[in-house]
Amino acid sequence: MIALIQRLLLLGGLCAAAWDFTYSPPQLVAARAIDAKAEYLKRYGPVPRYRFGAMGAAEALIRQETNPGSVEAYRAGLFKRTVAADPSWPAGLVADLVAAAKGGGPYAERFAKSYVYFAAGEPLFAGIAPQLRESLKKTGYLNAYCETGGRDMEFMYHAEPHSSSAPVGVLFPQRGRAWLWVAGTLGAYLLLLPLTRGSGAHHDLAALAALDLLCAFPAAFFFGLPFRVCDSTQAALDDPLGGPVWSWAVTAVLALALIGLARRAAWRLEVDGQTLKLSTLFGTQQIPLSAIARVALHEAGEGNDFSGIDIRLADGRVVAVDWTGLADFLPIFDYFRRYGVLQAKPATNLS
Amino acid sequence: MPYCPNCGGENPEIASFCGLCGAALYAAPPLGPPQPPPPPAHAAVGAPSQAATSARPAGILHWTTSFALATNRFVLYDMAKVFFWTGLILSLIGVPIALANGAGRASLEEWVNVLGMFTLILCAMVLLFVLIMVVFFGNRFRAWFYLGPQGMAYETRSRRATWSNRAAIVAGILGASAGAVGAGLIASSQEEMFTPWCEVKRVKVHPRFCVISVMNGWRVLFRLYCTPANYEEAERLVRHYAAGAAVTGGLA
Repeated sequence: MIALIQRLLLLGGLCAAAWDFTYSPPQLVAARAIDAKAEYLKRYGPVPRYRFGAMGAAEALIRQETNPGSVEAYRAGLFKRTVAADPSWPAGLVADLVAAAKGGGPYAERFAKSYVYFAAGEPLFAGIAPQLRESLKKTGYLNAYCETGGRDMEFMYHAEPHSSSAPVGVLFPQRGRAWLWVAGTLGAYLLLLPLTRGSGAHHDLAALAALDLLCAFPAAFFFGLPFRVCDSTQAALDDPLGGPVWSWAVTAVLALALIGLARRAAWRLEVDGQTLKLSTLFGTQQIPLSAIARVALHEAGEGNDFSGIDIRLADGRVVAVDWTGLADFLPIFDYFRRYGVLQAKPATNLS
Repeated sequence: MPYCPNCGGENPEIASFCGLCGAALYAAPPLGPPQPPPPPAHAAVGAPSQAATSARPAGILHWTTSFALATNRFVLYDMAKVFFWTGLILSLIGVPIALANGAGRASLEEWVNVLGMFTLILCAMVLLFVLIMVVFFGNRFRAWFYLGPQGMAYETRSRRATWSNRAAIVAGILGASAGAVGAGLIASSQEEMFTPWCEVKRVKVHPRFCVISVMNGWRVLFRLYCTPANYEEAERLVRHYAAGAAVTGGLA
């Protein structure tokens, strides 16, 4: 049973790691402090001297022929799409957003491409997230604005976080924990490994361990793949019968393979005193040596891949043991030979 | 048809030892013991004494057995070795090309990304091969092994393997795919193998798994998958015939 628990822990731990590695918030809010006057000048002011050629001339012409109105009119145009400022915002919020753009302040690591990104559910912007969602419905992709403490702020609402430019730390906030899961899971797997050892003939545990990893890592990969490919974790969970089901089907197949490996890892044949013990995943069969009538060799031959022994019991039952891939079978075989029950069947194929 | 005095198994005419239990079939050796072998070039670790190896007569041993594929450490190790060397050689070729491409560090970073992708592809291929071993071959492979005075031989007895090799060749020809034809031909050429003892330089015995690895100076030539019934005799014969080879591991 330890073999099964060990593999389920491995699969569960790595899938948890895949979940943490790919988890992204359902929606994001991007914020920045704006200076309406500076933006007005940037957009409608004189064309900078470094712009040469036809494009520079065209831009100059457009600006010359455009009547942008006043700075106040420009700002009023922006503030057609507004959200109400949250009174619980800290006083230094705008200053922190400005500092982030310069690589400082508490939000420096959340800054990317002019904006500071937050999960929509974070307390700071949880209050305005519903307003932004409504604003998005009315205005499509356009941004919303608000004024707080005499400064203007601009917000973007990302309903599809994977399409945003948010930094990895905001987009995948639990990624650091994923490595802990991987390390912890592998550690637990290795710690349980000696418990699956024991005396007697058994399958090659090193090969099984290699196959465990070869199954568990891809299983976790295919478990996490939909969360990465869809717009967010929630988007994958909301439509499981779309693309995700195929990926998770692969995970299920690999999980079944792991159970098969657990079955092999738990298999053991050993002589304990006067008893032959055959252990499997779900129990142990004890055969008194006195109950063994004979042990017949069974060799692979034409149309027959079975290579092992048939343990024929006195009551007529036969326990077939396939020694393909078994380690440490030699002492068991010697024991049968010494015990005098070993008897070969006529060879099936010796050509 | 000689029958084994120990286990009663039926053996072919040419056999001097039982293919099932390894016991001598005749009181006197039908094939005379070979000349005393030259002293081993290297000290054999765990090898029985010279007297022990030459006390019993040499002879012929052959057997048919099934060995595991995906749950076999030797198969997995050989596969990992092939993929490791492939990756290493490609890296050694690719890194100088990336550096010489002129972009310097950026180009090298690109190459690291390519290498990461390549590693993922290799892992996927390993998984695919393991799947083929389990699903197509049922995680077992039937083969015939022979040990005799001239050398050792191996023959595939898996019909699936031989048919799939032929199918790869035919499909390659029909589909005008030289790669498939080549793969099929290489696989077909490996269906039967013979190695004379003079090529053997090293022997590594694995009694826990009843496997004997026979190597030349740099690579594994043969892996003899024995059965618990004939392992001791097979090891004795290999030690006897490959007396000049360095032997590591063993029952002793």
